[in-house]
Amino acid sequence: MAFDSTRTFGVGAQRKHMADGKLTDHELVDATRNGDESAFAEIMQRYRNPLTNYLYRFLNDYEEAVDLAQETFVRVYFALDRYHTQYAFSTYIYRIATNLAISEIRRRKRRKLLSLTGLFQGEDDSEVEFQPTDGKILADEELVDDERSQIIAKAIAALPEKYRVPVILRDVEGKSYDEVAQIMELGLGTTKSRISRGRALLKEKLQNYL
Amino acid sequence: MVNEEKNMQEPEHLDVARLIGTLNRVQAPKDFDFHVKARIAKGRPVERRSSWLPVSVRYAMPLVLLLAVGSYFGFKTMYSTEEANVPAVAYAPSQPVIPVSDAVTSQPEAVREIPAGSTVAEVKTPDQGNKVVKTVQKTPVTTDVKTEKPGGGSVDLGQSNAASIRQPDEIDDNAPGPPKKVLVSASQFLASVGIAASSSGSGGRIQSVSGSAASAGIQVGDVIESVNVQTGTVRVRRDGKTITAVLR
Repeated sequence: MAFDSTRTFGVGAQRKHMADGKLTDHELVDATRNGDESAFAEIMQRYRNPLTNYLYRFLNDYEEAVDLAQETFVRVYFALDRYHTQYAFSTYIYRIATNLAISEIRRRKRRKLLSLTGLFQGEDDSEVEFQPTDGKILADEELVDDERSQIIAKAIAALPEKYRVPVILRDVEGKSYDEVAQIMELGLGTTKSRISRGRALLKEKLQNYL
Repeated sequence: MVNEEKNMQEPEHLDVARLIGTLNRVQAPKDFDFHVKARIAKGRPVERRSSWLPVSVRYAMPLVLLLAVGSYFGFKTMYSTEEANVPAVAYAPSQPVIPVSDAVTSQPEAVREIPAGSTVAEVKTPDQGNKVVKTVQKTPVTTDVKTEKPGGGSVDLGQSNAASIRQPDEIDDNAPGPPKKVLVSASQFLASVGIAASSSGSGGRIQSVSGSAASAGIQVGDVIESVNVQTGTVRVRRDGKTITAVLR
């Protein structure tokens, strides 16, 4: 019986193997559950950059994006036992990251509400993050010099949450509509509608660059 | 939401999508994995959810509530009005008061002779249920009559015939049941029925009568022999005759 199970697992695993010979996400998850730390390192290797980029576009704050991306992996690691493989792992991890990012944005709003109004406001009334300056070079320093990229990023970050998430997932991360719908736990029609509405809002702001 | 669901067409504004797609992608820092492993080694992540309430208030509120509830029940216990609610004249003895004269006459062998001229004397009955103690003072004439019961109860016809009768905790009329704390004052009872008496050699001599006592035939000069607050009976002696009056 045990031999049959092993054989079945072996056949299934072979079938699940990616074309390039790498293990699938689900196989890596299974290996991590069995105590293989290198499997989890492989998961991190696959998703750390996409997640960091996604969260950076979401929050427009690199340090916070890195912090939340790390937090996402920690939560995934401790919740692997509850993960069901009927869902794509990428959907699962993006959903966790999205929830963390939304929580962070709401926390910022509360903090902003409680802070003394006007103390940290710029001349054009735009919100200015009060953060101590550091000499570290941002990973996207090239963008800092690129005025257009700055304006696009700022326009995306200014979108309402309900439009920002699907637009970033679709147009920045290149996810399919189905994947975006699954990550947001919405219907396909609603997802498409929100993407369209988000793009329309961006178009109004970015007319000069189109 | 309904409007959104209606729009099932492919999202437009592809020029915007292409523009967004030109954004450079940022990379995770090189020490990313190290920090993740360090966090994992620390244990499960702590919820970042913050509360509107400051930490001190979040901990203080349950404490204050606990103290308030504790104080409420504490004060309620300390200052319970259970005793105070007992009527002052709510006397309900289980056994009738034995008149001193009856006790003396019915149990002559138990009487210890009161020496003439003595100031204090005691009269006791051998009855285990009731023990009558009579103390007589010659000058000034004062009669203290106590009826003691096994549980420690006593009926005290006190100085100047201001008799006070105490009912012990252990005595209960309709046992079984919780013991009652009944404090009875015969003097209050007499006063309530309109009798004012002074001490005399053999009992309380009535000095003034009014109210229900006068209606019942009690007269000035009668000598009180016994008082039964339960039944409202006052036995007096007039011209060598014993008269019993029920006063309500």
